Amino acid sequence: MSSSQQNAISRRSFLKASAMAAGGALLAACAAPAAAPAGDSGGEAGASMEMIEMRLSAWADVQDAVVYENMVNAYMAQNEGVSVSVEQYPGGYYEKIQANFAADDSADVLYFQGWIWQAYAENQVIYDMSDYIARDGADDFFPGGENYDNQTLWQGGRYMTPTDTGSLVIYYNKDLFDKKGVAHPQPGWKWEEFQQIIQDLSYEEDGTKFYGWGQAQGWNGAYGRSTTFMRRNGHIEWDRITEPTEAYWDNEDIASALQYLVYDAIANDWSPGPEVVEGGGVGVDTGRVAMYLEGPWVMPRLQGELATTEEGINFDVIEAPTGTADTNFTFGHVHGHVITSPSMYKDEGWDLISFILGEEGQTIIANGGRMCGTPDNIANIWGDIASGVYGFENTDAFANTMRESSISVIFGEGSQLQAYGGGPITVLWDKLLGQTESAAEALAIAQPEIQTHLDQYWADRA
Amino acid sequence: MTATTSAPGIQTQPQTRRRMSAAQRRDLRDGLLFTSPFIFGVLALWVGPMLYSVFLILHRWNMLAPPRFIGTGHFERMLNDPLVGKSLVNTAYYTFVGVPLQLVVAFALAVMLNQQIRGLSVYRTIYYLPSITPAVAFAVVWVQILNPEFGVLNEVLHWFGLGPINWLFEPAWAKPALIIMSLWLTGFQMIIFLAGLQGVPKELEEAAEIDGANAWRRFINVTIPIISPIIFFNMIIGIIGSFQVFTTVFIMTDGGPQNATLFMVLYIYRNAFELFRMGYAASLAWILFLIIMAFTAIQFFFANRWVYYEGRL
Repeated sequence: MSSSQQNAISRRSFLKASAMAAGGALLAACAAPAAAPAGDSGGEAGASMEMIEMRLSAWADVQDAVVYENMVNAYMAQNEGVSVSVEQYPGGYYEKIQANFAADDSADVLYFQGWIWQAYAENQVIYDMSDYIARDGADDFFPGGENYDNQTLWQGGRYMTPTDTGSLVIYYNKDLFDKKGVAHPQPGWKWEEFQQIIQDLSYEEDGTKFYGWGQAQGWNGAYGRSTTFMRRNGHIEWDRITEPTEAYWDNEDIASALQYLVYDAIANDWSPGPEVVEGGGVGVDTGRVAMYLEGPWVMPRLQGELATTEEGINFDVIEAPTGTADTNFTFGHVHGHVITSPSMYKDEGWDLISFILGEEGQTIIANGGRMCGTPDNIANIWGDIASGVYGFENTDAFANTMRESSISVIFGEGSQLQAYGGGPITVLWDKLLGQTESAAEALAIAQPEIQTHLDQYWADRA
Repeated sequence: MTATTSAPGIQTQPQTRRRMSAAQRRDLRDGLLFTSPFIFGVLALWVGPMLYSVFLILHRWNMLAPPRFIGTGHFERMLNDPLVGKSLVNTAYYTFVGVPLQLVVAFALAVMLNQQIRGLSVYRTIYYLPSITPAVAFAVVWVQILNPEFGVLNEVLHWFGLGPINWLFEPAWAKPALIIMSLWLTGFQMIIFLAGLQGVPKELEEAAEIDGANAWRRFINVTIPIISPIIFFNMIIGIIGSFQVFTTVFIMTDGGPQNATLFMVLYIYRNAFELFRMGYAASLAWILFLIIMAFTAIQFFFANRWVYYEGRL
């Protein structure tokens, strides 16, 4: 063997080196990311002008990416030395948040819906902001009232801010009303008027069905969208909204509401059934449904560049009808931010949240298509922007609904039930949507099952 | 490493462990080095989580706080959880009705595609294509096919005066609908069958023909026994796969209506990622694993009675 041959890299050695390099690269890729510079949660930036790098999660819709990129850019422009990156977790938002906590890699500030974060508070992985609120006199960010408190307070601690909201109101197609000569609904309208309009506006024309009512686009587990009707006369299906111990579902008001709006409406073609909705093409956004209960997030589908139909829908909104209780029990969504307990930048996180809740932040939210967090901001900031973009008139409906609204139910960790259904409540809705049992029959079965579920929930806690 | 081979009747001394030569050690080192990414992957992503899930069986863990020991609490909960039984029954129905149908369809397709016809490769491609379609796209398409109002399937049934059937919205029809849909995904099994059919020795068929066997007898008495290991393989794989059905159900029905399609893996997922019950989910996963193992063992036990391995007496 010549010396030149001895010095040459053999194929075996080359492959070996390649494998080692690949293995090394793999290990490097798996290694934990370099730790962020240790910041002092006391807020001292330090003489070295250390860059603070915070992570903020945003809901995974496209509009939220835009809203929060604009938000953090505006914030960073006013706060040198702070860098905020926006993270979205599309497809399983909460599962990824949960996994991030398990991996000790959670973002500093997280976005939550008001009925989800309670289990995180119980486990102390999110931070009670009460001291910050007291220190800064930031009570104005929290409008108060039972619904806001239910969705931002847990066992005396304030964990979530009301960053944006989603009051469910009745959207109605003005053209369909006018075509049939039906008067537009007026504030203070009643359950009986609502029922009559549903029937008046359900008809068939040239082989095409038009529906007076659409329960919602998302069918299963639509419990949260039905409380406004179930509770119209003042009967609440729980002994209390937060962590109930008793279920009162087997009730005439609940039965009549669900029988009419789900079972009868589908059976009589007053409302499209789930299979029709799933087939596509039937909704308020396509001009085939006269009314439905929805949140402000549907507006882009009704008017503007993203509208389903080219000409858009000539619509307006109205608060949901009431019964004898004269109170609006509509589900008012509250969405907001929490500070994570492992975060090294709690002070900075609170500062960022304060910016988001302030006038500039709320304007960015309104401009991005989300509804502001407090009724006053909805009326003063969001109303003009949204009505200008989407062409509706009754902006008061949204603010009023948020003032009066409620939430269906709130649990801590371990409950299958949540604000939109789950467990026996989802089964109950399945029965009504599939018309396999009347509301009274289904409720008679559901009541003990729901109670058993509550008993199990409390037994687990004990 | 020991070498123990010896000629019959010759007494051998117990062999001492022979040291590896330098070349063998080098080969071993290189072999381990080259397989290290796979070994690392298996240990980190498969064996590690499995071992941790054994630990979780006895603990309560919500991914947010440290695990807490609860002994056999999860198994006590299982006994009182009606959805465990429901999901097991649903899974068994899907498996024991669906897998035989899948085998029949895949086998029938393989037999047809084993004929000498024009455009054979095109047909084979067409029938195999659904198997490589992404599960999400596949599920979305089938939601439309099964739609009671606008779906193609009900339209076809209508030609024969049948239906309409409320496929995914009626508890009685939801599982059959998913089974029908699963027949679309038999391309993988079909390919395996096709390979088996092409390996059936021609001389055996000719011998049977000379002995007077017609095509049906040749099929039953020659083809089927020869490919019985293939049938067995497809059955094992099919049953294991059916016990683990998740993606399509998660997208199409999310366990509804009325829990009619709540299969075991979906229930495990719900417990783990929606209800914060990692320990309970791990316990359910191990129960499912043991069930699959048991069924696989039973199949192997009975395989001796019907599976023919060439060359084995």
